[in-house]
Amino acid sequence: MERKYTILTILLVVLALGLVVLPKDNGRKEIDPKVLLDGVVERSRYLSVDQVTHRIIENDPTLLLIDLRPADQFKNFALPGAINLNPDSLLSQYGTDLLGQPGKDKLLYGNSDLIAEKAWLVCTRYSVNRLYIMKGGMNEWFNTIINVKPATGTPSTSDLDLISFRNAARQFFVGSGETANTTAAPVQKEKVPVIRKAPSASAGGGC
Amino acid sequence: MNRFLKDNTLWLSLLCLALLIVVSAYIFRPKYPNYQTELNQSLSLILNQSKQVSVKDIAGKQIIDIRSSDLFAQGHPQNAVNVPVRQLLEKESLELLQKVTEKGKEAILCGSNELQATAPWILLQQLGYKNILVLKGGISNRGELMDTELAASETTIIDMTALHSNTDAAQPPAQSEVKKKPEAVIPVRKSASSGGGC
Repeated sequence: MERKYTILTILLVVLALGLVVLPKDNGRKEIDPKVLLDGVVERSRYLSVDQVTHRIIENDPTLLLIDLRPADQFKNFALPGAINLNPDSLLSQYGTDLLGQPGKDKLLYGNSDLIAEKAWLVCTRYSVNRLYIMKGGMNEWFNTIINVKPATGTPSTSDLDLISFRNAARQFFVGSGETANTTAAPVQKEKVPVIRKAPSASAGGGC
Repeated sequence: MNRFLKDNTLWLSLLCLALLIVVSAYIFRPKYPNYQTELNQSLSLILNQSKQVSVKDIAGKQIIDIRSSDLFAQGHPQNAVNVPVRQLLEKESLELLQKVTEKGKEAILCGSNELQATAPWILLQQLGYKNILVLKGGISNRGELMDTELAASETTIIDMTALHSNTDAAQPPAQSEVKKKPEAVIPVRKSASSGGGC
C-alpha cells in the first residue's frame, strides 16, 4: 500500500476518535447547569396575579397564557385566551412552536406554583426564553381576583386603588354572566301580540 | 526520512491538524456537572410525585437545608447539612451529594417551603442525582419541619359555585322570579273626525 493511503487511514481514524470525544448533540440547545441555577435564584420569572390580570384586561397581544392544569379543570374555568397544554407535551412539536413564538411573554401556571416551576426549569434548560410563572397559580388568582378581600384597618390610597382594580377585574371576568365555558342561553324573544283596533266607521263628515 | 516528509507534507499536516482538533475537543469538553437525562425523562419529572416525601418519612435520610446560612444559623433540623442554593453546584456540594450516593443513602432537599426546593431538586435530578428527594413542606424560622399548606399544593380551590354566585349577583335582579305577562300593546289611532270638512 502506498504511504499516503496509510496516512489517510490514520487521519480518518483520528477524526473518528474525535467524534467519540465530542458531546452528544440532541438537536436542542441546552444552557449550562450553573447558568440555570443562577436563573433559579433570580425571582424575576414571577409575575403577580394583579400584573397578569391587568395585561389580560388590556388585551396585551404579547402575553401568551399556558395553562398546565388538567383538561377537566381547564374546561370548568379558564382565563380568556389561555391554551391548555399537558406538561408532558410541553416540548413536543406543537409545544415547541408555541413556546418558540418570538416577541411573546409565555406565562406558565398550574393550580399552584409547583408544576409551573418544574416546567419553567425544564423549558429554560432547553433555551426557551421570555418564560414566566404566574405567582401562586390559579388558586392565588381565584383568591385575589374573585374572592376580593375587603380592606382592613385604615387602607392607604394605593391599597384602595388595588381593591378597586380587583373589584373591576372580578366584574370583567364574571360580571357579564359568562364564564369561559358557560355561555348564557340565548334569550327567547317573547311575542307581544298586537291587537289592532278595528277602524270605526266614520260618523260622517267630509265632502 | 526527509524524502518521506517532502512527499507527504500535505497528508502529514492534515494528520497533525486532526490530532490538534481531537485533543482540543477533549480539553475543552463540557465540564462536570452535565445533564444526564434526555428530554422525555426531564418532562416526566414534572408530574412525578414519587420523590416528594412528607415530614413523617424523613427517618434515615440525609437532610440538606438549602436556605441561606443566616437562616440555618437561627435554627435547623437535627443532622441537617447547610448547602445554600447558590452553592449547590460547587465542587464541595457535589462531593457531598456523591458521598451520599456512594453510601446508597437518600438525601432530602428542604427549603423555607416546598417551592424553594422544587427547582433545585429537578435540576439535580437532571444532573443524574436520582437519590435526591424533596420535602413536601419546608423548614420554619425556628428550624422545625412543616408540611405543605393546601393552598400551596396543586389541588384546585376554585369554587365553581362561588364563581356562579358572583355571576348571578352581577346579573340584573328579579328576572326569573315572576314572569310578567306580556302586555298587549294597543295602538291608539286618532278617531276620524266626526264632522267638518270642506
